[in-house]
Amino acid sequence: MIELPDSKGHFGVFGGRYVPETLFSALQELDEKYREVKGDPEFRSEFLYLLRHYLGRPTPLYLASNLSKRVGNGNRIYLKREDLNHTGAHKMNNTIGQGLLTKRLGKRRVIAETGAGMHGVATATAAALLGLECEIFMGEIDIARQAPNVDRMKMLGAKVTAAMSGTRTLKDAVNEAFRCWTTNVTSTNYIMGSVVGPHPFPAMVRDFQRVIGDEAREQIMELEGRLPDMVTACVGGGSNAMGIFYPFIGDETVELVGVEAAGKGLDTALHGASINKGSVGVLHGAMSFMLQDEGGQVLETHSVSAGLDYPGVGPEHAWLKANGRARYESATDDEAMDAFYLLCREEGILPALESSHAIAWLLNNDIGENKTVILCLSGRGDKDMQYVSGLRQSPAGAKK
Amino acid sequence: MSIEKTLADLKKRGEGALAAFATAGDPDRETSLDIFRSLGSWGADIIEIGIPYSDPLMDGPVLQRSYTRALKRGFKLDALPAFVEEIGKTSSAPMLIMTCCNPVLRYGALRFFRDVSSAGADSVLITDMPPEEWGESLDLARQFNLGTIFLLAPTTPMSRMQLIDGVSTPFVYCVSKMGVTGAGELDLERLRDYVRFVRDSVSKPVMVGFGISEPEQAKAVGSMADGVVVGSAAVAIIERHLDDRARMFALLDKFIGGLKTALKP
Repeated sequence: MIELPDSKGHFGVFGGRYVPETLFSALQELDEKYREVKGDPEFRSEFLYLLRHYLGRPTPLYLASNLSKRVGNGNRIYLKREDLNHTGAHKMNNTIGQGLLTKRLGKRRVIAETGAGMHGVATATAAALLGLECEIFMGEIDIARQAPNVDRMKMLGAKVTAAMSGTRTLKDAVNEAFRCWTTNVTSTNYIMGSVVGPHPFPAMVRDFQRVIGDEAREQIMELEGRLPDMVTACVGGGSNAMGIFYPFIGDETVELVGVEAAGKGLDTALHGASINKGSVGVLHGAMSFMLQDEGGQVLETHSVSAGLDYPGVGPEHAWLKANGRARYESATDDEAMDAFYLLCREEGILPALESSHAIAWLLNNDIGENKTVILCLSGRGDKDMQYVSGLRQSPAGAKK
Repeated sequence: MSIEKTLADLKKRGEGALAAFATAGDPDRETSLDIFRSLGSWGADIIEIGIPYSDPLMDGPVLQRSYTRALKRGFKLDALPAFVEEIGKTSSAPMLIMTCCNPVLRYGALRFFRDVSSAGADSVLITDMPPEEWGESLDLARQFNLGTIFLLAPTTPMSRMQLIDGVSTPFVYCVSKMGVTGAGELDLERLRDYVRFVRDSVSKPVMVGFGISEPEQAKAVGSMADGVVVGSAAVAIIERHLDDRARMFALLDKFIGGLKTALKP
């Protein structure tokens, strides 16, 4: 297997560093520093120590028997329990890594974008732990609909700044974070929340998140004595999916399935399915699939889950799609909601609406018989409770 | 006349060049066309035509809002070549197109270069496409006799300055400060040192932009560099007088004229 990305951050035609000159050298510096610490045993042991004793890793790989029955045909569904991480999602694997890297860069301040607030909380948490100043950019609309996470970031000592431009959601929070970084690049490090953005972010975030897949691989070998037939995860920007896919890419028998947000349906304009319905373009500094109009302007997106409500996707996913190594499916808002309730009722696990998309896809599609499947349960749904109960008084669509 | 020749002539006269930016289609096609056609007579030596984009990473609020206005009024990149050609009919100042890369990639780089070149554009500046990402597009642009202008920032290390100097024609666009486009604090002393350093490090003419809004700044920078670029400050005048076109034009005339006067020996 050829190591990707190449030295300029390309995965085939995807990826790269499409940024204004002011940021270019900061990205080079980040890349150099990252490659240096990647091979540094001291950095590695500090990172692993925090993953284990601060985040609570390894997270369990749990055979969800009741869910497996629902999927049927003798299929066995294992959940990789990223929801049990400190702060409730896989996001902290990355913020701990980038936080430690920030200290190595000699910078005292971090900024980050956030949609639902999970990456914002994870960044604010890492910043509190590591003694870094922290500012989080969040779309004005998201601030209104994710109030508990906003309070949480503030309690952790972060400053939360509203992104007032454009659609005032996640993509605009990314824009504002980039603009802020352009102004303060010598003092500040940008902690990117997903496998998106200019090189080295997609590779670096993947490397910090691959612990999910490394653990899962080891755990399934222990539990089943063999590799899984399928690994599946939801894909917005795609960091939890990339993290769990990556260690399996060389295992050709393992099918990799990413599940995008189909929103109100792929035949409507209201979805977040950048791979299924998008086209190749440059968004936030990297070439990948994105949702754009015929003039190259970025389109508005929709998903019931804020974490999948994004018009782009990481360049390595575009690469895996283009070379056929992974396939990308989708689940609608309604299907995700049904899956959300089903997991609550049948497994006693409250999943994030993002992760619910992957569960929904498994429930609603024929995946064959007697397969061993690992599903990345990327986060817990506490953050979504208020929203979900407001949306639906009873689980009308849940299958019983 | 080409940008290259314009800069050379001005230099001979000891005069600083003024490049003036506005957004194509802001606030609407007709007004925008009249603004671009007038920039030369108001005092601009080079006309910089900005392409509206929904998600610019390098632009401050003033230019973001101008892009939004133009897009709301239906600006389409397909209509750009005809627009550029229209400007050229009554204006002789050379034209530079400034854009983010995605609309260009969507349009097709080859087709874009071909169309804007035959419409009369002199050069292109793709703000979020560093030399590393151009690949064969650089040759394509050259095939159509287009200049390719690149940015040089205070964060650009010496080794990269040489790279940029090598590919940037007919001038190097020197970013005056850390940050996005728009008026802000400019420390003239520091800027003077920085611009002098850039000028001595590169072989191409140097134009300085970002945050230049006053004749005094233009004069100070113009004495060090080949000229200045003014953008957000002009667009802010457009934005403030959307309801009063006569006043908008009068103030632009005065503003551009004032900067040009400051650049004369």
